[in-house]
Amino acid sequence: MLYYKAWLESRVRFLAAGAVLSLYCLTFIQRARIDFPPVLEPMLPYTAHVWRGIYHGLVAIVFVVMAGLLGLGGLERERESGSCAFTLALPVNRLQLLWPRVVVAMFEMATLTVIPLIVVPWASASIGREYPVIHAIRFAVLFAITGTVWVSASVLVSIAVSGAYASLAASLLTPAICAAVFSGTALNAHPLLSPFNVMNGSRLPFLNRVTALADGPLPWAALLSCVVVSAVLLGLASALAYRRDF
Amino acid sequence: MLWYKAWRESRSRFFLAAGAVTVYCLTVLVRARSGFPLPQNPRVPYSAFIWSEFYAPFRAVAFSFIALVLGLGGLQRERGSGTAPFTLALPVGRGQLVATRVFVGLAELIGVLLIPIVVVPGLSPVLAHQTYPASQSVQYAALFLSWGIVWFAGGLLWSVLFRGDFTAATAAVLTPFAYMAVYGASRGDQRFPVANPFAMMSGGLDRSVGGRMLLTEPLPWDVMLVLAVVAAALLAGVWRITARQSF
Repeated sequence: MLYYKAWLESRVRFLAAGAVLSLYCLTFIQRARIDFPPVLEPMLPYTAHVWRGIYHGLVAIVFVVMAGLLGLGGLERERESGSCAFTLALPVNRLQLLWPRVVVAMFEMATLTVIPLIVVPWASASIGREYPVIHAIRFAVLFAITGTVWVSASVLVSIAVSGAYASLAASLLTPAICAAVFSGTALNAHPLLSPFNVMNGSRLPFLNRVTALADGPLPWAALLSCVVVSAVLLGLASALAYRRDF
Repeated sequence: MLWYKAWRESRSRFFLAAGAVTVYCLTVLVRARSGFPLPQNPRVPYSAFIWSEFYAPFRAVAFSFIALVLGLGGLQRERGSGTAPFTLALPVGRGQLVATRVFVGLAELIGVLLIPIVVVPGLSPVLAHQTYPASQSVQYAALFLSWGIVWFAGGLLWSVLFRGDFTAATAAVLTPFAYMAVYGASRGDQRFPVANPFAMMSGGLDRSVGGRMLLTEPLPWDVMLVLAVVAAALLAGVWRITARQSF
């Protein structure tokens, strides 16, 4: 029942994000019928065009932002709307309330990564182009694993920051601040440390510079570190949720 | 008192946004002290470096989020949290509540925009040992504000239409992306290049911007006027919907 509750609370966000992602992927690929190859780069491979528009373009931003939004909610929000007493009256502890929300948010985030995986190869075929499914799968795996960081960060924010809009603002600013830190400090010299590079291979050796396909072995160490960071953030969120006394 | 109420409801968002923008501005300028000229491309002028850090399209996306989030709030939200009856018991009309919310939100939006206007030209000589013309900061801020008020009005409209906090927030955050999807699908970049928000905010309508990324042509006042009218229409819609709501 707690999973169903978490789903009901987040399904509008998930469905809206899914709709916009699908719409954008579909329209981008359909436009390739007209604007591909670009006039200034007639030799650009189709796969590189897709990478620029989908995996390194607006879809990546929508995905990061929505992964953050999916992690929001929970008891702090219910406290504001006055319904937390009903939830706390359930015969479960706070951690049992938190973890179904985390699992549902992670599942929704992972499902969002499936949208380009389905739409890009299918829509490409419909315009007479080919995008290899195996590479779409590899990018989906990268998006899903790095996405755990943004979901976990927003779960932590939703517990630490009271006020729905304040937690929303903090959740949106988290990836923006991360991006600024990774691009504006000495960390810029280590592209493997940035989840933004790991999610689409930007500046990393596994991405083919010409075709923009994920040809090389995936950066498993970086992906593992994303999982560890995510686990640490969720651990902090659990500790914080456990200590709340309202 | 309504002003104070609107300020109290939105100040945490404003402080978060203003704090992040301030820290970002200072970080970029401090980095420019040792990192400019760029080692990989030493011929890039300081004005182009500033453009890429503050006014490039991705920065316009970030500012659009700030405008949308500052626009959220209003009676529907209070209805969700159960405080709407107290607000509605005040001896003021719903229009006054909306108008106050709009003015405070726009003031906060302008406040966020003022930060780079003050910090970049003011602290560039001190922190980065470079100069950047204040007039350019003002002009880029005007371009950002022209679409910013549209996003702000859009955020307010969503929060008037939807009762759930996160439903309105999701609709608001996804608005620019849905707009870009529709814009792309209708081949807007070829048919209506002036309607590309992020290109316009980044000075893309100035055809002689050049490699220095300095605006040399007059601001596109006609486009900005159209955007002001769009924002006014959205805000009028907000006022009308709020006035007609029956709770």
